Amino acid sequence: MNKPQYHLTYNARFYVLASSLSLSVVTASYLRLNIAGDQLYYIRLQQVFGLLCLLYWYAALIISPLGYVLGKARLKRLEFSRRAIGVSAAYFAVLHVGVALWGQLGGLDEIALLPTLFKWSLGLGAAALLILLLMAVTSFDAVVRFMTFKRWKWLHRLVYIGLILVVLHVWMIGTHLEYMSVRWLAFAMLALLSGLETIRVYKRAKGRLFDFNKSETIIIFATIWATIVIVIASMPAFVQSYHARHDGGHAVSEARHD
Amino acid sequence: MIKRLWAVGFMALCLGLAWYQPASAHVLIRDSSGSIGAVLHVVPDDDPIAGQPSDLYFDIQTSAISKDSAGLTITNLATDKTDTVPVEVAGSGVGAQYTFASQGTYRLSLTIESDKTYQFSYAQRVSRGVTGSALDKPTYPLAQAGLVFGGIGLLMIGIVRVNRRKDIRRQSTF
Repeated sequence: MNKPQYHLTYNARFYVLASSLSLSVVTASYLRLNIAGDQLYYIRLQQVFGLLCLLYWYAALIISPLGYVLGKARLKRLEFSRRAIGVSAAYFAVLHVGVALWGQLGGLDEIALLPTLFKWSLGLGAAALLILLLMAVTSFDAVVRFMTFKRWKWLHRLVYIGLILVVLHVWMIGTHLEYMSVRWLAFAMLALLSGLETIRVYKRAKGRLFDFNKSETIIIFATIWATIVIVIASMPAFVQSYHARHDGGHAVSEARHD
Repeated sequence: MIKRLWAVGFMALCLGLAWYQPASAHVLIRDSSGSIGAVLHVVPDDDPIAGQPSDLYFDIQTSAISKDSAGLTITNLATDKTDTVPVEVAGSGVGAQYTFASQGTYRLSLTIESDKTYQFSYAQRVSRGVTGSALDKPTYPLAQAGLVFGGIGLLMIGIVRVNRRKDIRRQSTF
């Protein structure tokens, strides 16, 4: 099949980026028209932008390992759009940070007045944003050619460190993790991603580094996946969450009023 | 397969947005001298409902607060009626429960007595529940225009995307 002459509107990435831009305008406008209070508006807006960033980031991450399970050919067009999905995630992350810092908090100086847990969480979020931005600015074909694909690929593996940082950031101060349904959904999504990534890493290493039979493969896969899932599930025991603190406060408050 | 994946992804996005539950969130307030901060957390949803009890929780940027050193008053700015609200102190947190009588704007004033006196003040808007004093309903023409143009933009992107799907399929490969 011959490729037609290049045109921006023939490029699937263009539609991902343009729809992200429109979605951000619609979100900001819709919330502004429905929330009268400025402070509540900023809170909701940064929450929605944060959620959109996570959804796009997750989609960008899961496409590649999904290709190893479903077949690369089936997902080749989705894989082509992957970079634009990642850039959209970075775009929503910038909006999330902008609204949180200059809308909700009132400026960079205000960070100094936040409790320590918030500062830690914002620091992790800032590091994750830096990684995401690095991915976004190096997502152009010209940069890939300049860096060479091998080096570019290594650089883009930083995205997994970014994901760990952002999971910690969300866990520490993300408000929706108060709900058990959201916790279970987030856990299931992380477990699915880690399972698919384990399959991908195994398939890439198979034959080059080792070669196991079917039953050995299943045991190794199950062990690695279970270990990752246990690490994810045990995060609440090791990382403090803001909700755990104020839930205790509410419990005291509720007990007093009973 | 790819179409199914797009459909599933789109449905997941729609479901995610539909399922989106506004939760409690955080508001940073400074004390009157500007030396320390406090994070205010209001349940339900940082958006109190008039006529129903709301939990107020202040996380103060100090190591610990002694009992009886915190005092909270809430003033209805429409009627100037001030209530002194009993508080519970735990570590650096101050919790209270209060029922806003009607919609309107209320001034929350928290005083902490430790080595020095800290005064925190925040204007809380109550826009749900029992109607009392009328709240101003601001209009946002820019947001109205944004919603219209953003919506049209999304629609146009969708239409062009569908119309050019064959060319896109040929062009969008590695």
